[in-house]
Amino acid sequence: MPTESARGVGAMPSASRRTVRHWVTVAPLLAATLWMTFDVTGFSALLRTLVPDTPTVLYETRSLPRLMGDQLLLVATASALALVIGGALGGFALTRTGRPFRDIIVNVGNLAQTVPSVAVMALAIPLTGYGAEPVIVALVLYGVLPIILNVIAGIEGVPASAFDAATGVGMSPLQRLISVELPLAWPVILGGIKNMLVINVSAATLGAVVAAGGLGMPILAGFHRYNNAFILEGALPAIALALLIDRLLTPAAGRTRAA
Amino acid sequence: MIETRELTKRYDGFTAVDRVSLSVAEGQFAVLLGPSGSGKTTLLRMLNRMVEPTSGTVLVNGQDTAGMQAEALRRSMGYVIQSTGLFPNMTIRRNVATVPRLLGWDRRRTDKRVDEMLELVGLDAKTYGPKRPDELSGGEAQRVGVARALAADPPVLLMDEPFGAVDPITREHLQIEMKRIQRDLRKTVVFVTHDIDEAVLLADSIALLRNGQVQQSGTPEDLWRRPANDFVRDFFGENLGLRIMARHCLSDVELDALPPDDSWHTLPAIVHGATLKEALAELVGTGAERLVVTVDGTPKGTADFASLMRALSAGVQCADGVRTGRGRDA
Repeated sequence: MPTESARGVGAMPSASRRTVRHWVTVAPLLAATLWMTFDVTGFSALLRTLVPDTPTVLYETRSLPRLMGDQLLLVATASALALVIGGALGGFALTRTGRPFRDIIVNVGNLAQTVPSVAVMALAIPLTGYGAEPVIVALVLYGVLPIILNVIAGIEGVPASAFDAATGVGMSPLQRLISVELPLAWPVILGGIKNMLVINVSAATLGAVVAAGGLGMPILAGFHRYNNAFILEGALPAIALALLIDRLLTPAAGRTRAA
Repeated sequence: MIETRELTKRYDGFTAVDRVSLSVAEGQFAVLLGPSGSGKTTLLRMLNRMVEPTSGTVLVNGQDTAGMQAEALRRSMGYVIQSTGLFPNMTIRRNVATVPRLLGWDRRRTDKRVDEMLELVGLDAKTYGPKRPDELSGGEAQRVGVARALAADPPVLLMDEPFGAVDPITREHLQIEMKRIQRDLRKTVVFVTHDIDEAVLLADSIALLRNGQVQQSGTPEDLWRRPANDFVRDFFGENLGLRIMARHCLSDVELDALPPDDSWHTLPAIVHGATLKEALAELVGTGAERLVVTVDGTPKGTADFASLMRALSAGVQCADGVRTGRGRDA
């Protein structure tokens, strides 16, 4: 039997090399985020160096670990909701009954992103009161679109031949979804989740305006009191967190395309 | 085994398949042949209910498939398509194991079966099992497609232009092997193609379709000798006779005894696995009236034009199905 030489040889070492490279970029960002959050003396020394002529460099009302905790809670809650809602809407748009609504769903998702988040929060307050809820409403509205778009793009991008074969060998629609469609769509859906999280980490700083806590608090205080150190105290950990999430969820390039 | 009765599929006023009644006997290799848009793929896909008929019935072993659960029906029929349809997210082993897993086979039985199937299609399980589909050549991927379709040992195999996307040499290897596998395993195969050579080489029976209607069905020899209409005659063209001759081998020919004198030493020799087409070419090319047919290098008898023709009308095919005479490494 003529068979071609093993072309996939060498795929394994390069795959593990990619894993190493992936964690090499993630680890410093993780370390930086943790350091800023928990090493009060070290981080305040950095802020003092960056903004020398400030009497206080750290925001007094709430400690950094608590601010980071607020931030993570806001992002996690809103993202989980957006994932469920966006996944459901995207999934619905792909069903036979939902197909006629596909464009409407995508357009509504687009529209939701055009409303300024401050306006969303302001409009939500009469219904939800101050605190975390209006922020979560705004973040969910923002996060739903990338999820919808990427769920649709991911599933629609599944090769027709794989779909056809899955049906032809006798998979039920659910089996086909779980063992063929979702795994093939996953990189695209993961891209949507990453976009949503990165958007939400920075957007959640606006929560300070409606007393939701989070890393926006020192930024807002710094703005009112002309204290640049406060602004950096909130901004630097938020940037590090956003970069960390971005790198963490970016798969090392060319995962399956060996040869 | 498989029978269609007045099977029809209409799409918004367009009739893709028009009252097709065919039957395929158990163990038969049936080819649905026709130009693009003749409805052959739609017809095939109605057999496993990938497409639901507008009217008419499909019977498998006398049972109406409309009453069966579609997934169960499909698992009892292997399915191979042109673009292989291998799942790119799974290894070759997992791909081949798809239907056994759907049927809930235990792990050991599945593993053993996967090894056997890869070996059957000529791929080394250790080398190829852990690979991903995108690491294979077109021919290798198509072999895996066949292995996957056969994995749960379904009595029926549906193949939709399975070798359409591979190069001609690989295609011929795959065709010959497919014929061997079908004979060894005694599968009932329904095979869609628009390639006349492929159809004539593989088929026990051919149904020629045009505009969703069967123009004629029968053995390739029937369609050649008794074309039902001009379309059938024109579709096969003037080379059909030679193509038919390529289906038959010298091993099917009743040989004349070697002459007692040594006169046959001057005749051209040919191995008994050669096709009648090759034998004819040898007669024409050398200008000899007879050929000496050898088996494993030993002369067994002689054949002339008339004896070739007798073998052709008898309608037998190379019994062993292996064309050793071509000198090709299949």
